[in-house]
Amino acid sequence: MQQGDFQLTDLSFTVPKHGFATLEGPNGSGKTTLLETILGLHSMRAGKIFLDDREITLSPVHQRNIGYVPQQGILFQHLKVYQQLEIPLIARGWHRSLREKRCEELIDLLRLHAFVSAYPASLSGGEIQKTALARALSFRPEYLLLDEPTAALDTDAKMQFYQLLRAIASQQSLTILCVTHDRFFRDQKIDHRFRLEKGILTLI
Amino acid sequence: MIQKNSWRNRSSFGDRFFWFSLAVIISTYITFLVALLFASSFHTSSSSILRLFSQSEIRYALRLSLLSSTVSTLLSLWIAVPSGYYLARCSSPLLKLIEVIMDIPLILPPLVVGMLLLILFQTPPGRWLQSHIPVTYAIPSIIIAQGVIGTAYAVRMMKDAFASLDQREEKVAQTLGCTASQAFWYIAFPAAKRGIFSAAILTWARCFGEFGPILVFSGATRLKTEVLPTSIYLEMSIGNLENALAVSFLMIGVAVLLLLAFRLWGESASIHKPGTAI
Repeated sequence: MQQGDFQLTDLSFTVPKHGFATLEGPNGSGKTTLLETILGLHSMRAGKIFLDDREITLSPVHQRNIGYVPQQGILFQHLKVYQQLEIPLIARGWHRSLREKRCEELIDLLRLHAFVSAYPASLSGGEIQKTALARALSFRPEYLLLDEPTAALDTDAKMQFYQLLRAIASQQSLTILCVTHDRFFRDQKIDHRFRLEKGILTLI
Repeated sequence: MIQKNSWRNRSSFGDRFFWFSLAVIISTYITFLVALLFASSFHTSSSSILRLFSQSEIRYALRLSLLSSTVSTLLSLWIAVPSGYYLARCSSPLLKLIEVIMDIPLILPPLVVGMLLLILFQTPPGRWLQSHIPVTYAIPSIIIAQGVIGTAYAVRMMKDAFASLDQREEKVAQTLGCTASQAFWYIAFPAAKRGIFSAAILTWARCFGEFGPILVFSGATRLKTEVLPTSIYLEMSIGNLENALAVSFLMIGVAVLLLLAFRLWGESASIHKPGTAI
């Protein structure tokens, strides 16, 4: 795969089911490009991507069913927090009553009550990340990809977000791949750590 | 310690000079525009403008101008919104050529646009269409002439409006399960509503003042294809400068009132506020 002025070649890695893996590496090493390729946002010249036994290499982005928390959250600026959670469900044609039930579950799970009617412009970094996480989980994906989820958070908020993520991951049996170059994750107990540097991916 | 009035202290002489220079430029331009109207106002009077409403031709021209501009604006946006989105989001080696072709109505003199339309509707397909719906020298020709120019403006504005949006939001929407079409309707379209509203206002104003292509393609027949710019032309052609200026002031008054009303409505009806998408 190629993006900008670098390319990633001959990469192969497996994240075990229900595992929590981090992908570390310096800025510009291609971590985000790799993540976006798994999501289908970049095309591949060769290779295959599998979710369990299902090959998704050529699947359209919207059919991959992978939860995604992008860097800085990337919330929809014209929508309130509640509406952000509804979008994936509207896209999947969920009935209104089911949507409301699922949104209430997410609001309780991630404790979004205080700002559920707010627009993204008025949210703090932690609130943005929690909303982005809730939105990514709304359609009950089995796989969750996060891109630098703690980059804009202070130490306390990082710990809170991490603990929340781990709790949800074990509760919902999620398989997680988290791209980061935050030292915070080095002090945490992570199931699998990968490092991507100069186009070489290693398990550490 | 933070000083009181620290913001004011930072406003140096250089900053004040910069803002003063901008104010001078905008004031000069506004003075010029007001002088244009002021100088002409000596050649007509409010009674002349009021007298226009007693003339059935002018009442007809006013109604036709308002109606045709509104219809042609809606048609322009119907083409410009999807076209602008396509131009802003798709990459193709032909994109530059497509943009140049879409700009042709802006490059050509308005009279030439009218002439080209007239010739097009004299070709066999054009004649076949006219055997079912009269176009040339009829009301549809006014809407087409205004629409051709209006669409070119609207496409440019819509392309800029969509290009200024964060494309990552649409990509994230796709990862959440939205198709490209859903990402457009749920994310890009509502996020661009401010741009769409501005494009509608400016396109309407452009259509309302259109004259050149209408004169050639629609003719200037009173109580048939006469819009307000045509009325000004007809009054000037018979040497009635006072009436021509009165119609001009009527046009300015109607346009300013409607554009002001649109903008105020847009602000109060949350066109400019986020969160009214779904």
